[in-house]
Amino acid sequence: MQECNIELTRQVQGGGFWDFLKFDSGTTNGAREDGNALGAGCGTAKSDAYVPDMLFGIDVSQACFQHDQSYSTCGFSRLTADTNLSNNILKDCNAQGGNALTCNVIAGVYSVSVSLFGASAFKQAQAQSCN
Amino acid sequence: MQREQQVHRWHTYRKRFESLVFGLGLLFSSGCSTEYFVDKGHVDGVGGIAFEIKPPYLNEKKAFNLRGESLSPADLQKISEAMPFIAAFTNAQLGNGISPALLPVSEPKVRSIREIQKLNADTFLSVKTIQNWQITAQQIEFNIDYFYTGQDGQFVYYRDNYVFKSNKQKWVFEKHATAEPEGVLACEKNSSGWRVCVPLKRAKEN
Repeated sequence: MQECNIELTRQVQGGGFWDFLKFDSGTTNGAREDGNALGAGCGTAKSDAYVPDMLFGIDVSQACFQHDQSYSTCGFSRLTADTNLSNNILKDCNAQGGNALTCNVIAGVYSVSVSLFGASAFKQAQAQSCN
Repeated sequence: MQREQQVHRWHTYRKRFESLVFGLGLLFSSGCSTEYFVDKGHVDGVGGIAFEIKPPYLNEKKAFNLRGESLSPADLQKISEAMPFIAAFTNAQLGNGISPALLPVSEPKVRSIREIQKLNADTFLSVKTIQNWQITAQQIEFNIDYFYTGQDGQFVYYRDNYVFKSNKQKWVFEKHATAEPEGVLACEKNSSGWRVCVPLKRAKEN
């Protein structure tokens, strides 16, 4: 009798395709699943449940968290922080097996988002860290 | 059966996608509060204990992993009191954007990741999580997982352990829990797609 494990099931069902459809904020019932406080990933404490930490099955939470920490470092350049975010997502996405199109789309979405909406967050974070 | 499972999964993912579209719509709508983009901090209640996740060191405080572990209210209360001191210590360990010469004179017995991993001043060091809490009457032991972008552009994860003791209503670094740090971590995606990290030494043993 053949044993059926999760990995075998994923191979049969094509886990790659299903992974591609994964969008997840990493929160459940108002708390982060990784145990950290809200906002320790993509989005703020208020928006954590709406901003995905996983897009197309790619975990981008670390790139986001590093971006937040760059903003919160006194004197850090916003342009450098935003460029690093894009580069980190691209590299981390490739390392997780994402294809070039997927990785560029994800990096593009987050780059545009921080360009459009990051100014007030950067200003606030700099004021907090430089005082 | 397999077909039913596929249909169920499809519905689950469709729901998530709809939530995402709704969420992004809400986020980008003109009536959206700036608090959705600007984090001013919040008070987090864990096991009935209030944690001030507020500046200074907001991101270091966010990295406290308090829910993934079995901690009693008394343990959580101790961590809550120690949080500002541990967050400040973590920030000093990161040493970002400041010339090392300008850093406050730290305890010589604290291991420096920048020295051990030979990171130059331009390398941005981040905190991933602060976890594996072990609380006794007098001390708090924990790990800090750090990460930085390595030379090949990939994230490198690194873990070290710390023991803090209470001293005149302050919590201060006492010693490292072990003579050697756990060091570089090996990270893999779990079945849900999230990254899970274990020390490289342990990963090689398994």
